[in-house]
Amino acid sequence: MKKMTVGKEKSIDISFNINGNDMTVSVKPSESLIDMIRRLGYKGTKKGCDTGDCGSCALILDGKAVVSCLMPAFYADGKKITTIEGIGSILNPHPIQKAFVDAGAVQCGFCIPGMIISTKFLLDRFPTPDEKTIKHHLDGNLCRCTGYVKQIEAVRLASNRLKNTNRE
Amino acid sequence: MNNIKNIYFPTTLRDFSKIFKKNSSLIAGSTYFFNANKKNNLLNDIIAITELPLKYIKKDKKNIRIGSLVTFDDIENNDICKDTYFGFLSHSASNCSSQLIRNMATIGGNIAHPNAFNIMPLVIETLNGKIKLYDGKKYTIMPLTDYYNKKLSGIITEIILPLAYDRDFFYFEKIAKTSSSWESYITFSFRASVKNKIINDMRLVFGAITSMPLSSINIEKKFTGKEITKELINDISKEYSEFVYNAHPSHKYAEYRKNVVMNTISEFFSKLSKR
Ligand code: FES
Ligand code: FES
Repeated sequence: MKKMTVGKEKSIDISFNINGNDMTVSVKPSESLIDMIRRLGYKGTKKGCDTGDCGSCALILDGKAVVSCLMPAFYADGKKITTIEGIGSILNPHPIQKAFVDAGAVQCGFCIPGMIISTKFLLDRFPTPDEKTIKHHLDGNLCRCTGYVKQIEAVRLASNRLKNTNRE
Repeated sequence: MNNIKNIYFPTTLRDFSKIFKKNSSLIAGSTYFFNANKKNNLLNDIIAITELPLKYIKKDKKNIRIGSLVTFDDIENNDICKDTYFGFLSHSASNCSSQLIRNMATIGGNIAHPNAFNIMPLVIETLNGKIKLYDGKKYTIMPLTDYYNKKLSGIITEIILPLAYDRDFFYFEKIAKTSSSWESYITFSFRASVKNKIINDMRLVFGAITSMPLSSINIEKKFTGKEITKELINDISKEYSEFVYNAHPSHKYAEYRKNVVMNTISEFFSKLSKR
């Protein structure tokens, strides 16, 4: 049975893979996954509500899109994490990211990393989702700017474009 | 949580039994425990139950058995859950909060932390289901009300839902500000069986009103065996709307709930009469 013992510094060492890189980090038992991620410099993941309601802190943990503000950092031990930085970059954007820009689905941009994470999870699961499925899978991502219509268009656009690429 | 000394990740219930104490703190999907306890400095040890072999959905001749670490997303997309009770389980699970939360929240956690807005207790009550509890020494199978009333400690390992109701008529609806709201104004979880317009059996459960699922055995008894007529639909709708109103008359949505119950029950039984 795995057992983590809190050391003198009141922290525990955990190891995980983030965006393809293996890492070992000391965390406090009360530190949330979002705080750890941002402390490590992955600032694309945003902290909005800190109560699980807005979805801006979403990331993919072992294949599932989750909110990282409700999760202790020690839960990441032994896991594979994908943050928005692991999906694409400015120089090499993922088709989903490109579709969001091209569809005009980005205004202030605060909610977008979470939206992209939810979209990635959705399209990995259902490559050609209907509107109901898109809405259902993005229902945890709140946007204060766009009114959601453009984002649904963006997901459709991404779905079409991904059919013709072999990008994961 | 900064005074925690150890965090255990048992992979078997045998291991679990070695470390479990009556006041042990268990964490599973982490949608509730972590935020509720971040600043709690009284916790010593935590048992993270995520690795226990309780992620299964099985069907035998009499029951569906769902391991307590199954998430709402698992239930929503599972074929057994989609195909049984006309999809009632999958549909109700899809009403739980948002996709990001459905990916994390376990049904065990939804039962273990009572809250008026929780969905799984409503489902269990509607189906006269039972829960299986392991206290580190023995397993006990009990109705949900026993678990809540006796405040038993242990880990919920399984929920057991009888297949006897598989062909019944079901209705589930969460009335909330948005579909992804955790909270709702009222949630309906109904089951009934009708033959030749006669109500053979019914179970009408309401959520979001009281911390436990709200239902009335007396009203159910009163109308079971009766023929569905216009008058019956009127009477039963009225009776339930009063019942729900009186459960929390000072609530700011009490009047609204009264009306919505009236309309929903009336529609439910009208549909049943046409079956
Ligand atoms: S910051 Fe996590 S859901 Fe809002
Ligand atoms: S683009 Fe501003 S919150 Fe969504």
